[in-house]
Amino acid sequence: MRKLLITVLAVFVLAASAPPCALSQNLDQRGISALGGNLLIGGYIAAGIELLDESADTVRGDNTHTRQAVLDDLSMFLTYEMTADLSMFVEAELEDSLFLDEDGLEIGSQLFSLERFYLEYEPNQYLRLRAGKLLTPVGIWNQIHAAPLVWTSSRPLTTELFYDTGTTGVQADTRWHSGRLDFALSAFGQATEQLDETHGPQRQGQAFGTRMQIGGEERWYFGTSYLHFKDRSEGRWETTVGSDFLLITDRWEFSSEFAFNRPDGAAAATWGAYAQAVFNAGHGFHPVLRYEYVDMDGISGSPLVFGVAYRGSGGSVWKLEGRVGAEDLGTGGNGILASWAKLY
Amino acid sequence: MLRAWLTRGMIFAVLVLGVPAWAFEKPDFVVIVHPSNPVSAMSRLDLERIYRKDIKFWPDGEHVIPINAPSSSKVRASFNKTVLRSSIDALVTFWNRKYFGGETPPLVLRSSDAILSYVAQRPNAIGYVPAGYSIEGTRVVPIRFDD
Repeated sequence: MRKLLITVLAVFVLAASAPPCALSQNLDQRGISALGGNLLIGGYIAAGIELLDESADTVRGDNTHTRQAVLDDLSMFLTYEMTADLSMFVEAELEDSLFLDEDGLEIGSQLFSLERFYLEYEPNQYLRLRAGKLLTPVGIWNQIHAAPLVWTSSRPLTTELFYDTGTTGVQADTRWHSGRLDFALSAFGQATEQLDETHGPQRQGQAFGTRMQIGGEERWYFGTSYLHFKDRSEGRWETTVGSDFLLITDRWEFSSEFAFNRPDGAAAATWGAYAQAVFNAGHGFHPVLRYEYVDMDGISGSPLVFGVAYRGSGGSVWKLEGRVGAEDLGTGGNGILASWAKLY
Repeated sequence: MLRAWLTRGMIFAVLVLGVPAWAFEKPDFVVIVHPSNPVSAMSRLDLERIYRKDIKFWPDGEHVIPINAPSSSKVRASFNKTVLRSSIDALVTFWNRKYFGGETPPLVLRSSDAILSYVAQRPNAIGYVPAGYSIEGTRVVPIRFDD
């Protein structure tokens, strides 16, 4: 069954990566569109090599290998516009599905996951409603976390320690403009538990939160997020707050996120922050530098990531990076990571 | 005193950073809509927001359908430079991230004739064609480049 799923998705990736066919009417659009453009199928693929000095916490809980090649993600999106106001979005993924290490080629034990599955209703300029499994609208990274869209193979801990990647429930968004400024406000909630828990029970049970964002002409924005949730494993309510900043120029992209979590009534708190700079050096090369500090349950660390991303034609990205200062954080420690990803 | 310092600062910034190319750019395209569209004029910023799909509705509540020229065309390059004011690299990053969020870029039609024909048939559509092009069946919307 797993092999069949991998084969089906691999065939789809090859088909979707081919030059636009007669079905595609939008020359700028990735993927394959059909049904008069109302149905779009796309996705991305990512693979990487890790040469690290510690074992990492991965989908394979028993993983002790520090040198391995991994087929990280094989993801498929499906967008279907049912009417002008109503649409459906699905993202299904084969994650950490193939490993090549000292023991040879292995297939991951937990393969298929439903990353997103929601209905969207947008009746006017000021309201958008989503219901289903969504990306938790907190921070920058979590909302664009696909490998072809981010500049490093590794993900900052600040973007995954303090909240679940997904939320199953409802989300209401509003946005408006005033002069050159753009404003956005989101409120979201989760009543019980996640729709799909392929990676084991998620941390959040009942949850609700808000996000506010102010920006200018898609070139910069500043956001703040608030999330109050019941930690299912601890059986207590916790609060996470965060802020984030993004600035894009023709040559530079600066981003930063901060997140802080505290269980209700507890004195101890955990927090983390990172700052990242990306320079467009031309010819597709983008040097990257990221510094992060995390303080969680008495363990603190300050990973420094430096590397380069090369963006080729057709949505593919190659990345090479070194990491230091990441001892005992559960991410594999220090070493070198390289990856390739393609959006199709 | 403050005004003098501000003026000096602006002169210094222009000398050091240079004047952006779009400041001298005269648009060599016209923006067209269906003749029944009630919009009489539009700011560059609102046009940019439409083409980035931040504005999705006309003031009367109808959906906007923005139409792009082919990415290899001169009129598209001119539009990107004077309206979107972004490099191709920045636009690719922008649309890749929107695409991941389930948002698709504006529809692209293969020629100015196709754009003209599409806009002439759909009251909600907006497009652009080279200046001087016959715009029969559509109407030009003046764009205010005052920012």
